[in-house]
Amino acid sequence: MPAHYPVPIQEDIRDLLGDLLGRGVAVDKTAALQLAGDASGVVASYVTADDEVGALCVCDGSFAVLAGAALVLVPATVAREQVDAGTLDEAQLEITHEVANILSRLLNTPRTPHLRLRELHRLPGELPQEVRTLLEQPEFRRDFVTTIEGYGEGRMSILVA
Amino acid sequence: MKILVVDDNKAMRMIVIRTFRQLGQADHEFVEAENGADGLAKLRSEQPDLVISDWNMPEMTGIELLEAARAEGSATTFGFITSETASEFRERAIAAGAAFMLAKPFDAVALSEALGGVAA
Repeated sequence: MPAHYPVPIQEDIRDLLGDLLGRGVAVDKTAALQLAGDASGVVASYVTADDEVGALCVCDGSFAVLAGAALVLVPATVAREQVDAGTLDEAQLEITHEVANILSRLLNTPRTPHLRLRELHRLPGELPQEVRTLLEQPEFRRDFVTTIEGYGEGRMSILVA
Repeated sequence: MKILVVDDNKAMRMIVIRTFRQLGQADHEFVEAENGADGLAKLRSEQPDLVISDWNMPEMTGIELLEAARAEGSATTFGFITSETASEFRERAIAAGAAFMLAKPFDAVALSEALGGVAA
């Protein structure tokens, strides 16, 4: 059964992140990302013009920190220390917000309702009911492991209604 | 040249300014605004030569900023840098008076091409 919204494949993610970060990015499919209860991460929610959640991008803490760091040229050594610390501060979250915003390009087609990034939810933390519902029962999902040249590896998933 | 950079994301404002510097255009004066409403206030107070704006922002979107600016009689050159790439967005931007619409992610070459002679 086809997904209602488009779900990018690894080549789409690779090309977009490579263009965004200006460095090599490898992306491969992987098993479904299941973040442990206390693991840091981010859930980006994308909504229609009617504010209905149509897609989510779930990132583990490594992807959130490393992609953001590569975007604003934080030294890789500093970024890896931030990953090891296992937290996401407000500044890191704001940078991840822009990465998630640009990823919205891959969630739109001329044939599906337009989606835009609404907000980022920090993990661990409370999620709105509509986000939890889509997280638990997506129409379709793809999970990726990404390796950003010079920075390292992280995981992300796209889930759509 | 004074350039007003309007984006609700501080990192993206920094990236836009950094990209101008990569083009060897570090001598411009940059003014930042964090949403369309802030952008409109700074358009009035700072009188920039060029506005570079995101599309989706809280309080006032980029297209609302452009339409408000034109309604006030401002003819300041206006361009979008946005993740919105659908044709209906582009058509609305051009109809409202935008000089260009550049898709994120972008690089220095793409910005240079979008600017044309605007900020040479």
